[in-house]
Amino acid sequence: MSSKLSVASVRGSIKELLAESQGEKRRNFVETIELQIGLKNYDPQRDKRFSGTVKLPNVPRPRMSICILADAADIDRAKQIDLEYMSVDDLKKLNKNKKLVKKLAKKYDAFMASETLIKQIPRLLGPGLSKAGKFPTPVSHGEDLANKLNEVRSTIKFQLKKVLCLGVAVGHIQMTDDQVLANVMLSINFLVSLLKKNWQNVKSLHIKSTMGKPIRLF
Amino acid sequence: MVERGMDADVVGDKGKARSAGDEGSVKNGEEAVWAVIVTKELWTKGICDDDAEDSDDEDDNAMDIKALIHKRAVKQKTRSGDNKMRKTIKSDKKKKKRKASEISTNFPALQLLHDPQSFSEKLYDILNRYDKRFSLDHKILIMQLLSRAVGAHKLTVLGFYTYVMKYLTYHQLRVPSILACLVQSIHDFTPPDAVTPVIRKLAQEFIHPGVGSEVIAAGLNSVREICRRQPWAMEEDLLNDLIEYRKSRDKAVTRGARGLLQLFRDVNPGMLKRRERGKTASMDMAQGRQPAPFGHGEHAAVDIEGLAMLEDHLKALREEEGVVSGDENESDGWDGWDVESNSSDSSSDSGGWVDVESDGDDNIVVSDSDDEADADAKAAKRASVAPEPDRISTLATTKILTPADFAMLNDLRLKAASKAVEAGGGTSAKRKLSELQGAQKSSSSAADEQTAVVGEEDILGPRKKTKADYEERMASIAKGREGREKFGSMKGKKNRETVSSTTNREKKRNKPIMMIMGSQGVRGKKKQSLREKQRRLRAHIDKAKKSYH
Repeated sequence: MSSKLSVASVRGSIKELLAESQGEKRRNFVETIELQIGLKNYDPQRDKRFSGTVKLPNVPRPRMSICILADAADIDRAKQIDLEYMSVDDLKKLNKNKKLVKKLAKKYDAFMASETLIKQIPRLLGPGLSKAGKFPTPVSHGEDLANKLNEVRSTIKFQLKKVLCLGVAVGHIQMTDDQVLANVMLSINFLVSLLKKNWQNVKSLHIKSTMGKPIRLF
Repeated sequence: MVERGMDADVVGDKGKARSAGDEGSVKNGEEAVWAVIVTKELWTKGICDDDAEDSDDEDDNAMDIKALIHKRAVKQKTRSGDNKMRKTIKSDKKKKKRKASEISTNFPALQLLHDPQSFSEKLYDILNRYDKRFSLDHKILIMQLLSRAVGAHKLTVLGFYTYVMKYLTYHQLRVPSILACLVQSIHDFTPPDAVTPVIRKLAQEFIHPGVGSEVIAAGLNSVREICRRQPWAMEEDLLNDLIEYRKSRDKAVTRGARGLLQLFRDVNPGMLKRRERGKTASMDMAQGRQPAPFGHGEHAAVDIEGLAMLEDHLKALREEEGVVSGDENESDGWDGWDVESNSSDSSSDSGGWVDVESDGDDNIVVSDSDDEADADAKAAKRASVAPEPDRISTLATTKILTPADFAMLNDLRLKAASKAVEAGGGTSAKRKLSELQGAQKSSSSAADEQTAVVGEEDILGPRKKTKADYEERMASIAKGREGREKFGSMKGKKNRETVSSTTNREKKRNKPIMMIMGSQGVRGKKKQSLREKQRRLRAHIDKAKKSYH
């Protein structure tokens, strides 16, 4: 390990990042803060490609677009909270057409599905959604839809693909630095716990706002 | 198996039939064919697969054996020592053999497929359309490739499950390979309703009293492996019927049925009868734990496993020493932060940014200082009571875990797991412990690989050695005779350089005593007087003395 990562320095970096993005270079949209991770001593072809999901304390992407693949009862609930939905018939219209499914997967950041429906989803849509890492989260009729929505929005997924770097959204610039800090630290800790050799596998850690410069943490 | 299968002779006229038809595509595909040939060559020559990982492991083993041999040479020689030695060498050889036969699933070619879904759809199409034309071996090769692709990329080729059904009979040739293919092609996104009929067919064909025990075992094993991938495909009645086979008298069958039972205890104990759930599973169920619904691989983690234990541990350390252990330089930077003062002793419910328990406050900056004493008291109480399993630690959001912390976390996890085993946690606890221990020792993700590849051996299960027939017996006898002389009398010819018959002296020496007893010479000796005896003895001694020099 090249250096030590202390909470104080992370805090400093976050403050710096927030100051920069809220200063003169303020953009006309809410920038997202991303955590970028570089790994080392890891062979994605040989070692297990880890994946893990963790729920962050603060919602990193409140504007994340979500669609629910709903049965009749859930359509009503979705209408109440202005959630976009698709019914079974809509899905059938896609006709397992790969391009259409891909388009659907691109259109939304995440999906939810009624529990009754979820078993049919691979049949209806093929592997398109799971390939994009957007396989719907099941919602039962008993659960509160708004709560579930929040949960989905605050859940992030670390998934190693073929390359040794990954990035996740951990916050946005309208959050306070404490909130960002909590999110960043939980994500770092969780990621490191996923790795086989913990810190020995971490090459670099950066945080970056959408339009800002990357700031190296580690 | 796909990799191994590349060498197999493929007999089928499919290639001929096609090339006659479309010349254009052949030209187009020429490059592709070459690519395949080159890749195959690379693979067979072992350039593609690098065994770098295993090398140090093997060295270790070799050293071990050498050391053992040396010890054997130095230490006292006992028969038990010999036996031990022989055993270790044998087991080591076995291990090496197994390692050699292992195949890595991370075969890059599969991972690098451009469009796996249409690739496997095409494969299935070919398989289905030319079903009559392909030979069985060829079909199995295609099935293997298809199922690997489907398993690796979690594709949906639903037609395959109906296609493969017609091969699921116990008298089908090479049915273990077909079963292995079937199992491999199932993953957690396979629609359960597509798999259910397959399981039903399997049960009908393989698992009934009318077939041999090895057939039942193969059926049970494949059902178990299918359910490991897609537990929702199982039906409750069928499951309970299948589990009854654990009372069978055949070892392979009992093992298969017990495996199935154990699997459902872990995965979905609700499908089992109450008395078959086992202790831990029923306790979990009593606590209201539900199996993860379909498509829900795992729940999103809210913190790192065992972190609460680490927090407790650190707290205990701090109470003992009065200082933060290890990271003073970090705590310097924490002074200005109000969360920090509470983080050391805030209990879980005050940290509640996840409303798992009762309170629903969503902010992270927690607990005013006035209820600190309260929190302390709570913490003390909690220390005396056993820690709740689902407590959420705030440590992950307030501290960056150092390598030392992770090491400690690992230790604590291990300790907790071994405690669970000691407390009679059952097989799942044991498995967890061994997994943890394995993770510490070796780097390879054995569990992951295990689920990815299914071989015929997994389907067939442990098999009793069948009785050898006459030829086999004779062969083994002949093998035992190799390199040794024939047993039998070593008298006369065999021991000498030049062959000759037995001498009179040898004959006399070896003459049975009963024939000598009554002879004149012996009887005369017994009957002689004392004086005569003495005289003879004297003479003998004199003669011996004289002949000494």
